[in-house]
Amino acid sequence: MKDTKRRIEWHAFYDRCGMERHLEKMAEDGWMLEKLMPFFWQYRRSSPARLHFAITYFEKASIYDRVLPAGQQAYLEYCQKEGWHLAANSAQFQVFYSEEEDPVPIETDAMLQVENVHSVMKKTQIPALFLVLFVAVMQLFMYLQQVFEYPETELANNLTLSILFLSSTAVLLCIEQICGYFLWHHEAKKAAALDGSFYEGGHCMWFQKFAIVLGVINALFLIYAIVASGRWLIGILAFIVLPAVVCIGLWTRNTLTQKGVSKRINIIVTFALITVLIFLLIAGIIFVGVVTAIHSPFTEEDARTKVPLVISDLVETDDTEYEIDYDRDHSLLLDRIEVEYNLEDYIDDEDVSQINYTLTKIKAAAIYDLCFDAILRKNQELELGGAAKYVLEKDTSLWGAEKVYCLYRGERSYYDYIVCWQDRIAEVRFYWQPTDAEIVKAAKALKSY
Amino acid sequence: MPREKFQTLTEQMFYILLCLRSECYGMDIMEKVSQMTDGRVNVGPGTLYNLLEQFVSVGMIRLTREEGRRRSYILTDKGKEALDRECERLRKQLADHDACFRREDAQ
Repeated sequence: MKDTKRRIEWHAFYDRCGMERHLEKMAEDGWMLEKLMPFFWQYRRSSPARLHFAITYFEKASIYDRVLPAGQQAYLEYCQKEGWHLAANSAQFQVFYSEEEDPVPIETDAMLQVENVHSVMKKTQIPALFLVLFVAVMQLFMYLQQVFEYPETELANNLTLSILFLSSTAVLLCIEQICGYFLWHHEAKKAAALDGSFYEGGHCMWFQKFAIVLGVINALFLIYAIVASGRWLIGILAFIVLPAVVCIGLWTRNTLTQKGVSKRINIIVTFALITVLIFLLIAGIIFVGVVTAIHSPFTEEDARTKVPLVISDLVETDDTEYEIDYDRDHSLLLDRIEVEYNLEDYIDDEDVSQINYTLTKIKAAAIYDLCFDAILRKNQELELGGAAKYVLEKDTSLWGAEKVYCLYRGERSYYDYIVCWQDRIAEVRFYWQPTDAEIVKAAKALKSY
Repeated sequence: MPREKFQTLTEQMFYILLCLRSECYGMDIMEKVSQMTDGRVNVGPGTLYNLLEQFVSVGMIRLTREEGRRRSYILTDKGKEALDRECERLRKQLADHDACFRREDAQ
């Protein structure tokens, strides 16, 4: 039988009443709070008992200082004298219990208690929440900007979707926590001013639980995205390096605290170490990424199995003369393949059998127009000079498509097309004048892939 | 500390200051208040600690001795003024109450 239990508790920092009720229930079930750890609370098995618990906040205490601040020792003694024993202590947060049937509460002035909670929240929790909110909003903003600018590439990347999802969850959670606290503060202050009563309104824990479930789903999705894309360096960064940096930071802080190093030096050393580690690890990962990013040649044989259309499907040619570039990104929303068949000794402006194409399969109809607009805009912008324009073709029968756009410079048309089928968009550039039969073949291959 | 805060005193503030008319250990105040009021008013240890800190910071009491963890305090002139002001306020309230009921009884 286990004598120790560790639980992740969902209570908000200021939800004093909720935590007290929970601890009383745990004690009745034979579990006594033993330690308050950063990510969980630890309980030890004890005889079931009816105990009273009290949560208090001591503003001057700090996680970077082992020595109790001036006054906290006196505070603990006052509590002890009234029969309140310290169950666990974590910097500004203390948990007391009393075995007496009807003990005098530790806090008997509601307004003072609200002010006390507020001063601690203002000093630690609220700035931390605003910092996380700022980082999450900035990240969300940057990624959304990229998504709206290049939806056809960004939405084809599961990692982008994962980061968008994660940032949105973090933003919602921070907003809920900040609003929840200020609402509590307002109500608690009002109750204290009205008749000196303690506001017992709890904090909605379902949202936090919901956010954590979303976080777990996202972590699983991220693992899937990393495995599917083969971007192992990102996986190492997300699941090994960052948690390792957090653990090293916590270990450094705790070691310095235990050695009695001053609070100021502790803060400087811990933050300096974390900053240096993050820079070193990111630099290391980039270095390893660059060193290991060896371009593996893509052969005609690879192409036969991976790409929808190979050059020899259209023209009779020697495949070995080509350099093939292939790139594929696929997500829940898009599947995008870019293929370039370039002759190794190609000279510009020569009418040769070369083809470049990108096929974007759109799995969610809602983003079709967004992707199409972006593809058309990008191709127009690539055609510098202003006179070039993609014009909607009247006859789409060769392509068997809903819409076909062809590149024109003045009156002259080029063999550069944007072809729209119901669930996919192809950007195709022929470097020679394709025959109708070749176009039909290309369309068939791209449409059926 | 906003000055308005101690313009009127709560019962707990009042009795803490009253206990400190002579030098007293902070820890003993809880018991003294309870005895003084026959258990009607109880000051919790957290509230006592915070009020003592605030009274010291506004100069209503001062720290006289610190022996290890034991600290003793005494009321200052400013604290005495606050107590007197509170008593005067309570007397006026009582007088108003009595006057009102006397008038009603007379009618």
